[in-house]
Amino acid sequence: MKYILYLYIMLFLMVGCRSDKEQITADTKISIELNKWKRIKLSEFVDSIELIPLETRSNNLIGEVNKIIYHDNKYYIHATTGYQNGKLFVFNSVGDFLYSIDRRGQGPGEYYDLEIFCISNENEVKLMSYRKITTTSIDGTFLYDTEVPLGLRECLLLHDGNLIATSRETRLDDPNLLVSMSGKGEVLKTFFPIKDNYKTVNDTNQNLSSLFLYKDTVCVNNPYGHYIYKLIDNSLVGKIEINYMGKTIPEDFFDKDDDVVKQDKKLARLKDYGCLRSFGIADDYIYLTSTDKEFNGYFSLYSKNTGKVVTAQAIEDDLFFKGNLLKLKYKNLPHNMDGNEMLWDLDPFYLIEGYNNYISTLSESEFYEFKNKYPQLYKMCSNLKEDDNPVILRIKIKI
Amino acid sequence: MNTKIVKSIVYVFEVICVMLFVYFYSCLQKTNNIQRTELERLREGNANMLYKIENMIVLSKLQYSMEGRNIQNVCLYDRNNNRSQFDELYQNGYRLGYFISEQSCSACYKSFLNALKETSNIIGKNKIVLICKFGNRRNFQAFIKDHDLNLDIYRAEDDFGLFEEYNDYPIAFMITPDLRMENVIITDKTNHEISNDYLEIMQTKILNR
Repeated sequence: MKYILYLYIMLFLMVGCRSDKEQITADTKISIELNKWKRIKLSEFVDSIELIPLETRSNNLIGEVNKIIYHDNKYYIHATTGYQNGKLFVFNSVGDFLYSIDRRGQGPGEYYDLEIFCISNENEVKLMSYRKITTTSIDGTFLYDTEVPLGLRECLLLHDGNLIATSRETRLDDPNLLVSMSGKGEVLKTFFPIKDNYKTVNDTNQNLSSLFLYKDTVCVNNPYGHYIYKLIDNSLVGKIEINYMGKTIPEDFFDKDDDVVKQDKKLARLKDYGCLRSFGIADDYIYLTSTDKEFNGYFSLYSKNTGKVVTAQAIEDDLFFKGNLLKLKYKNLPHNMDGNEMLWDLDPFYLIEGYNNYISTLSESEFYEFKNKYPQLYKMCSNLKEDDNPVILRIKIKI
Repeated sequence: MNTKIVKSIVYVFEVICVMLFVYFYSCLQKTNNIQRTELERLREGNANMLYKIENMIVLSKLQYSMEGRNIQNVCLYDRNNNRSQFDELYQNGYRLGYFISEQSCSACYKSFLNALKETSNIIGKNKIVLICKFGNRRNFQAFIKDHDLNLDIYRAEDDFGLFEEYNDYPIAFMITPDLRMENVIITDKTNHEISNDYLEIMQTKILNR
């Protein structure tokens, strides 16, 4: 009988072994003050900026920039018109248009809508659509399709060649937020279960960027959640807590069955709240973007060395178009990085307006001086049109 | 000796018991899994059907409440960014309007747009007008290019503000000269067939006017 007893004990132990992400305490706490009047000067955090105006042609109009990957001296940009109709545009390092990948259709190697993409170590492009990954060569030639048993939202390539993605179907069969996949896109395992009351919230809301790879650490945040979880080899190793200083949405704020309308109604009843929209981690800093109830945007920089955090709702240009102010909204928040540099896509409107405002205040000699000091900026801004494709600002941060 | 035999029998019996337990347990698990999969399939089917029905109830209510309502005379911009007012579109009589927002899901308007293009060949392009809510012009131009639209199309920066929420649903409608909405339908991924029937009815109505 004792063997049966051992068997039972072992079974109980196996069932009882569950990691609990709430048991890990936050190793970093970042306080973000959502103050609408707070500004930050460009000189306070910018070391250098490189401007990459993306060439505009009738066949490469970019609506919204979602994801930018800088790979092999080229910018791969996933763009949509409105919230959908995703396409992949490829530009060289100075912004000249090279080609686009658009495989919308219903046959093999085609998809209904491109939702996200990544590039593998073998130089293959993984085009992710609903429950499907279409793999092409780097120039867009179809290689193979892989069916995925669940809908994916964001995806990253890991250093070992495997992929990791976030699920957008946690309310269905599988409550796990993260999906580990082989390089070909076959699902290896799902893990990191999401709290019951956040399942529908996760599936019905999307942030600008909520999955990030820093060295070997996968960092993930779920919509309306105020933790960035850090995982190594599929295990939770730490978390960053975001404190909106009295405007943090409580953990138990949403109920399990809250659909979008109920969520919006509940949020509307709050006086104000902070919501993390994107983040990225570099060697020396963490950048975070947030919105408040009115969808005003906030940009925060956290110094890893000093623990200091600066947050602003507007960025004041004191370097180039002096005196101009960039008011942040949900739509113009940064959400891409390349190594330690930020890739901030900006609508030409902001640059044209800043340029025109600035030069209108200059005397002839000052204008001449400006032209000589910043020839590239002058050339670009004087030729930019409002309908042109966005300009990528490659920003080297100092903090 | 007897004790040893008894001990051995008990031991063998225990082993057999464990083996039987494991065997029956795994059989039970298998059956359980099959049943669970089937149950999930049925539940999913049921949930989809329920979703469709709930959606159709919401859509019907919205359609019903829009019927006969006056619409705001919103500001519009054509392909070349020339500005006009909404009422100017209807000065030459009844036209079939179709509103899309940049936040609308493409599955809800794509097939209707294609059907609308075909209808325009029968009733005439001048009888159809598309109003698209896009914040920026490049996005709007990309949308036109993407869907190969050669219909009369305008960009609006605001929606019609008919409801507190739900203003991003794609809506097809007829407008009377005094800007009242008639024959409203919300096109949705769950009602493709109905919206195609709608176009046939509207085609006849417009041709008979």
